[in-house]
Amino acid sequence: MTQTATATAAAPRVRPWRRPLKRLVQVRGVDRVVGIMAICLVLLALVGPYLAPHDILASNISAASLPPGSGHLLGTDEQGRDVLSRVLAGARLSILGSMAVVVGFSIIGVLVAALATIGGSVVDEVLMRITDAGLAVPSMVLSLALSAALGPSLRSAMIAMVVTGWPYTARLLRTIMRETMTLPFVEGARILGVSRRRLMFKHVIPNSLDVLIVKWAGDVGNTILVLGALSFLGVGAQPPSVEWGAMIASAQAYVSTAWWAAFTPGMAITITAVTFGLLGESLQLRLNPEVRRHAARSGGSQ
Amino acid sequence: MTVNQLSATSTDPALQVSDLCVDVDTPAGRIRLLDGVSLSVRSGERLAVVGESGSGKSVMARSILRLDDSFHLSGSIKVDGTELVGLPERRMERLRGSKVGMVFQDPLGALNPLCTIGEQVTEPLRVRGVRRPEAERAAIAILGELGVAKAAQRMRAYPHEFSGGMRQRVVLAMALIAEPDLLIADEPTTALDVRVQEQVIDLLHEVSTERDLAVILITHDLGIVAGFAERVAVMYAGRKIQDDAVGRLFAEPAHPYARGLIEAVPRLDQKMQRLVGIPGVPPHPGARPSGCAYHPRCPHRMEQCEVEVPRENPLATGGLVACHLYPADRSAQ
Amino acid sequence: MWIVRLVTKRLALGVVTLTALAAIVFFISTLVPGDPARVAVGENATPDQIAAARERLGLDKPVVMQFVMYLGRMVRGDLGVSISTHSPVSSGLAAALPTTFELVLLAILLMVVVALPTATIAALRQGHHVDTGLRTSAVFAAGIPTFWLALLAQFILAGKLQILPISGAVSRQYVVQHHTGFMLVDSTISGGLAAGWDAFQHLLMPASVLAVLFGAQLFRALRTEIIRVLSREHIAVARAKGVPRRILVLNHVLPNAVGPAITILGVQFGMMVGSAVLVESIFALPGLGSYLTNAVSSADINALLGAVLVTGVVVVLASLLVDVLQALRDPRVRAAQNGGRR
Ligand SMILES: Nc1ncnc2c1ncn2[C@@H]1O[C@H](COP(=O)(O)OP(=O)(O)OP(=O)(O)O)[C@@H](O)[C@H]1O
Ligand SMILES: [Mg+2]
Repeated sequence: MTQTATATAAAPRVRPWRRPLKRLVQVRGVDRVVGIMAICLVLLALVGPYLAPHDILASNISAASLPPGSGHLLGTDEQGRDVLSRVLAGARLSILGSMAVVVGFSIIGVLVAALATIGGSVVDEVLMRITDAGLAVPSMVLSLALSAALGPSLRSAMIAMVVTGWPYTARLLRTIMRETMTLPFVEGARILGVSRRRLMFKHVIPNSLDVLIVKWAGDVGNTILVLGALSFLGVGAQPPSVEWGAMIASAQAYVSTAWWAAFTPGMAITITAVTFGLLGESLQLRLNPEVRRHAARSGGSQ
Repeated sequence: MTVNQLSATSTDPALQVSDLCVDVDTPAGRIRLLDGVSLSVRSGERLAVVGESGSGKSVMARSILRLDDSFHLSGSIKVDGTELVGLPERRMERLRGSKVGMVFQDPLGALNPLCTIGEQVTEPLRVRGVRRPEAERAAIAILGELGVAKAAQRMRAYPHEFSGGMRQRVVLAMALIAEPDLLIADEPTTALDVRVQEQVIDLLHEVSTERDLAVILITHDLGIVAGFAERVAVMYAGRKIQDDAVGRLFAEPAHPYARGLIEAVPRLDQKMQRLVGIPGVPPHPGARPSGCAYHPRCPHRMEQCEVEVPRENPLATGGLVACHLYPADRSAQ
Repeated sequence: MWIVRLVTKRLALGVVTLTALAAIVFFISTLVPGDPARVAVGENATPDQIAAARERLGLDKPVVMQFVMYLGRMVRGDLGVSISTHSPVSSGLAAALPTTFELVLLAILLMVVVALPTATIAALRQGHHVDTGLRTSAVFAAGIPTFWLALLAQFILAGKLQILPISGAVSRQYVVQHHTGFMLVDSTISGGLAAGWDAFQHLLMPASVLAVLFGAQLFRALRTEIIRVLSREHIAVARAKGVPRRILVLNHVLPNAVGPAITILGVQFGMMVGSAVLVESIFALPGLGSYLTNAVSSADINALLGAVLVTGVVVVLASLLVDVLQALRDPRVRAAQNGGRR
């Protein structure tokens, strides 16, 4: 335990993903549970719609608002649709949608950070002012505006989230990349005349990957919350597509008679967000030597 | 026990540590950082503590003031007749600063960056109920005494506006303002440049004689030891292995480890590397070798050394050593 | 003086940021399908009216000129006319903002009041059961969707247990006149303490709901930083001076540890204004959120873009406030200002 910690602390941060991948397989305890949960959730997002025991769209007024129990494990909603089936099916849009958004804004964020790092001070200054502008608007508000401009749809909500999400990644990665540029082996390569672009792709971006992966996990958790919120407000997923936030929105008016129809999808969002949040934390402890060292020193590793 | 009575003089010692053990819980289990250390300091005496990095010098210093809540102490620490091991935290708080003061290595890190010098130097008095004007007068006086020019104006300055040497004077002022009988200085000059080092050590010496203040100086610098201390305690792997008057220790170091330390001095002049003249590395407290902890590196290792922890015995020439080369002289008892 | 330098510098930067934001907003407005001139004058306007509007709005000029004119209008506080209410967006936002501020500020107050002591306790008892319990709660609290929590709270606390009012800003029985726009203040002026208390009760549940997720984030940041500060040498030095535990925490640990928390609060302020949209629409509070949800349902693009700009201004001001607070807290920051560099 102490040995691995000191070994990682001493090793330079080159190709950081090889050792960690090996380490991830040996994970134990809470972290292992979290990892398995996250994998299950992603699998659920892939196959969820096929697991649904009932038709997710056909409404059946005679079976409306049935409480959890016989026939419908988690009850039915105001239109008589099976809640369990819809939660399983909704995993696809909620989870995969959020992951797509995160991938989207991470790419933009990395590119902006890379440009700001190697593009000279003017480029850096301009990009950082734009980043600041992006940080200055709450993503919810800008998303509402964008969705309204482009017309409410899951697609415009996702575009809006990509547009409002990248500045955070860009800011963080710019800091990391600047640090990397000052590392001896990168500086050496630069003095030897390796081109900036090559430097970027060979050293700087790979060396930021661990930070990025940690951020991904946390971002997926947050994005699920935002996507749910936008759908809840009616500017995200539109019926008949099934999404957790939208499910809560349609069940909202019937909370007093059929609370389970709103409760279950909310629980699903919470579980997913918490899982990815925890995944981010344990990845951080594992992948990021800086934090690992700090955690080792302060004694509490979990 | 008998050993400590031997070294004690007629007056009560300022500090009497007996058989102190310090344990700490780590993810890998409980480890022993300090293993049966006994030490006494007379009032007004200047004791130096030396030993390689990781030998437990700082752990001992911090344990005397019980600064780390994660340390489990056993044995006895007596300051001015009061037993500190097991003393309620409330009483411990009152004792810190007023009986025992402490100075640390890093003079910038030792000051709260958000508070003025004045606030920090007066604090030991303020928390004891002294009114502000009075405390400020005392602070200005002691800062002046310690060589801080224009002390009255500098009271309103912040730590970042001070140079390293000045900061260390401020730290010293904080440690002394409540008039303790014992000062523990843990590598107070390591972070300073050579000229300032000398000034600070001279200052310590001066304060010690003027105030009849007992000082425990922890250092790596044997040059400083020779000029400052009257007595030296040598530590290795959480144990004290020799304790002797400074002149004798330098002239004829008894313990092979102490010999190694002293012989290493002239070869290198970079202060941190002086103590690296002995082949091998000091053990980690979690993996202390059996018997005499020094035996894997000792040129005079005997079979006995691997199994039996040597007890501290008085030397014929005076002083104490824990080494099987010097078995107890039964006639001395 | 450091404060003058700091404020001017941050304001100048803020202006640049807001101009960039305005460019983004302007760009979005060009994405809107349909003819803005036609939209501006309404459905059944004559072609002449449309042409006049086109000229008035500068739509016949090049895009750059349009943007400059747009900036000019913005500086004058002219954010256009709401399509749904037919009143100026600026006055609509001005009427809505106080309610949102009230909500967000009460939420921040609750967050600080809860997160600061709990984070301190957790950090001081690092690794013990209290710490584990608090950290676990925080992890879960940070994953709960605010809108869902709002529905649950409304259903349980107001619907089932009837502890707090279910929605609205104040009970019907109180007639509240407009003085400041802040409901807590106005209701107290109009109907005395009873009315003020009533308004507070209405605000309490929405604010608490809003505080949960952000409070959990604040807790985590504070706990981490307190632990970091606790291991600093000057804390050991202060203990060695004989400073009692309570004073140690209050005078030495917390002032040094709240720095990152203040920064985070500044960032959270904007996000909370965003989340207020959800909470207000669920609890029927007449704030920015309700204004925006109305605007969304009627595709009122002027109102939405105006809101984006106004929240941008608010966030820039909040970050200015954060910088001033940090400088007040830390003499080194002030010194850096006086040195003229950052
Ligand atoms: N809180 C702690 N938990 C675990 N191990 C500790 C703790 N504090 C100190 N140690 C270990 O105890 C040993 C002695 O440390 P200490 O700081 O006393 O050494 P030192 O003699 O002061 O060395 P240096 O000359 O480098 O200051 C070291 O190996 C250190 O790693
Ligand atoms: Mg030390």
